[in-house]
Amino acid sequence: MGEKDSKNLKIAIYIGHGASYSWIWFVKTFDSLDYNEVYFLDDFDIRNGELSNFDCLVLPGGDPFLIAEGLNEDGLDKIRQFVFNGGSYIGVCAGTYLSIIFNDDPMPWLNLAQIRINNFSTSPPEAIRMKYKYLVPYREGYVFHPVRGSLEVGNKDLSFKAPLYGGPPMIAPAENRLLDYVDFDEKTLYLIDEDVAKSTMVGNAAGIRVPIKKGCLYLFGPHFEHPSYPEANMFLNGIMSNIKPLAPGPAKRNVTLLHGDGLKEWMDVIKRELSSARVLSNGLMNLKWKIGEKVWEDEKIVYFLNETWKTLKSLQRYDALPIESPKELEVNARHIHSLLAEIRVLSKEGEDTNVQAEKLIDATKKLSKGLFDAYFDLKRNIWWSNGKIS
Amino acid sequence: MDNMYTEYYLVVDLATGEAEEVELEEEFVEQYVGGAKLNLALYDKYKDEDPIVFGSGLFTSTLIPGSCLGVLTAKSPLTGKVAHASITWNAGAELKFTGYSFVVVKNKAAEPTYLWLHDEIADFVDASSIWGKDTWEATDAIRDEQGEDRIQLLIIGKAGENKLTTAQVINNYWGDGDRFGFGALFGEKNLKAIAMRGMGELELDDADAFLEKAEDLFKDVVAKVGAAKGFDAADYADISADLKAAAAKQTHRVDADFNSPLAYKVYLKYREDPSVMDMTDNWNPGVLVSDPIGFAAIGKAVNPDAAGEVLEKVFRLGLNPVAVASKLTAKDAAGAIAELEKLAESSEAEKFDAVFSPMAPESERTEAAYIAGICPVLAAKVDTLNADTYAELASLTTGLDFDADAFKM
Repeated sequence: MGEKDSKNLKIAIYIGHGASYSWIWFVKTFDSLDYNEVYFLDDFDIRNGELSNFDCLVLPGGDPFLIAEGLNEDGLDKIRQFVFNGGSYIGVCAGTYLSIIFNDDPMPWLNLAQIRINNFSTSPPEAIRMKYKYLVPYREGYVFHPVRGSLEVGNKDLSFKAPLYGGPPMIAPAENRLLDYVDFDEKTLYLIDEDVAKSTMVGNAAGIRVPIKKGCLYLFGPHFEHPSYPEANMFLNGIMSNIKPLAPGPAKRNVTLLHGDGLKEWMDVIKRELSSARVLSNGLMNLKWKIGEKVWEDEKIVYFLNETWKTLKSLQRYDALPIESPKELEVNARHIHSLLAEIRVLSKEGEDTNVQAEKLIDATKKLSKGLFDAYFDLKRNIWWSNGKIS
Repeated sequence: MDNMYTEYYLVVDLATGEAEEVELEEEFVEQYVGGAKLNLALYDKYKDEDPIVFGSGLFTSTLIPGSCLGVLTAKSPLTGKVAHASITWNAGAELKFTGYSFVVVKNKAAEPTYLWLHDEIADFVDASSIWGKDTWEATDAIRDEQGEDRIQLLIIGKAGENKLTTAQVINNYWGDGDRFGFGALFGEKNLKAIAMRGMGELELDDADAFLEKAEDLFKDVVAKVGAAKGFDAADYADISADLKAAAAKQTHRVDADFNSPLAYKVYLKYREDPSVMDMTDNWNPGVLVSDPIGFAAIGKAVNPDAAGEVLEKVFRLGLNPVAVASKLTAKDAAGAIAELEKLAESSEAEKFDAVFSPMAPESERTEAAYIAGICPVLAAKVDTLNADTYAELASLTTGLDFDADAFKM
């Protein structure tokens, strides 16, 4: 199958309950690799049976406990059926943990493949830094994270660098292995003793391929989708080119085509609210929120909003925009702004702001999804009609 | 304009509450380059609507050393002539980051207002709750209202609100280069402040070549500035030995403008031990001597050890220190502060009777710096920060042809 065919893959990125902000990396990288059929599903969409329209489901980083909670058994089973019927599942970090059985008494997650991990222990090594995000309790023990940041992965044919933010070192049979953890580098951040980290990670699988019935799991520890790691992106591209584009794609979105004064007014509202939100998020002073089992630093919100802003800016050059529920997006943008203002006030008073942060993440996802949908719609239209909006 | 500037400049009409984005055309930049020169062209364009122009230079907010400069251009209530005030620190750079390299403020607001510029958005915000507050309180209030402590402001105090020609536009909390009574113009327009915060980016024509040149220039400038810092770096100001000795006992740190190696600004602490470097609960422990000439003038009028505290009051009230120093009769801090409060409350337009003193020595290099967007204090010290250098860098970054004459008014 040619690379051009793979560019027609119908890709669904999960952005629902429990997904972290790192799905944005997939969007940026898929965009730069010229995948235009990129769509976004939340837990409701998956439970609603949307997956059958796609060739590939990306389960990005996040909190597997919350993702499983959001999907519930109904959604989880929809994903299982998707794979059994020929779908490809790309899991990264949380998406990987969610799909494998690494404990004799597994949580009721996807549990599609028996893959042990080398970072689960009932007595994990002592953390030397970032204790707040080092351990995640799981049944009788803990999943621990020996290192963070850049490291080297490879196999007999290639090696490159990729960032790790909690993904597992997997103990997998040779036939499943795509890449192993090879070494650390000068940018690796050790959360435990370096030697212990090495013995935990190096030599174990960083990426595996597990065929299941008609479908296949591609499971990664590191974030090969991270836009700052082009070699890792090319590896991901290689994986994608092995997937056959067979799915029809989702039904056409019910959009309002904004143009003229209506577009200007809408754009002004979104820009004003998003800009105010960016200003506020930059002014937060090292806040952290624990949402589920995942710790969110305020800088992640800053990144999230900055990327949403860039998408908005990229849409400014069009004379018309296909927007789904534009009024709802306006409300959403105002909500993001007001939540950040509330967080600022409450945090200054020493109050807990977890509830507001959770709402903020959700609202930001919805707004960025709305903008990305328009972006990819236009990208596809440009492809089809030689630069004109159809 | 594709490179070095934002795509648009902003024209704000305080009377109607409307803001219009106007394309900053390449030909316009080719002709007027930037800073004071381009400001003047914009002033002329809108002169029938009583404009204040705040603009950046071509290199403002870039990696060129000293690229902090913003320029405020308007008709001076003192002289009746159009004048250019240098705005140092971070405000010029922040303006460009907001997405507007220049902003023209026309006409008069019906009610107290502040202009809030952020990421290509211009908001007119009701300032009635901060009208009457001093510049420090009002700066804090605006930053709190908009949720960011790094918002940069051009702001007035009571002196400006009362339209005194001794009023000065203050840069956040600190005095700056306005010796022209522009504070009174803000007051006349019911404009309490221009607040700015942006996260914009600039395009360059040949970024790699520019980076290389900027790095070389920075090394050269650092070598020429040498070890001089604090008042030794501000040797253009006539600061007496007694005043320096008194200030030395209160000196906490020295500071420099955006992307400048010249640390000529001195922070004095007189409400807590200046040797304590950690932040404390006291948010107002002293004053930044941001205007050494103004400090020298105040230091001549009052006891040297009271000069910092008196300068703080000058900044809080939004007064021009050079203009008011000659009016002070009390030598102690309390007496001088009481006199300043009375001065700022005056309902009569005070006529300027002090000798005009620029922020930096006047020279061809200062003139070029006002166009290029380079701190004039630094440019006055470093011979390579000149029109020839700017012309070469301008051609490199914009893709247009500039010669040294472009950096003359």
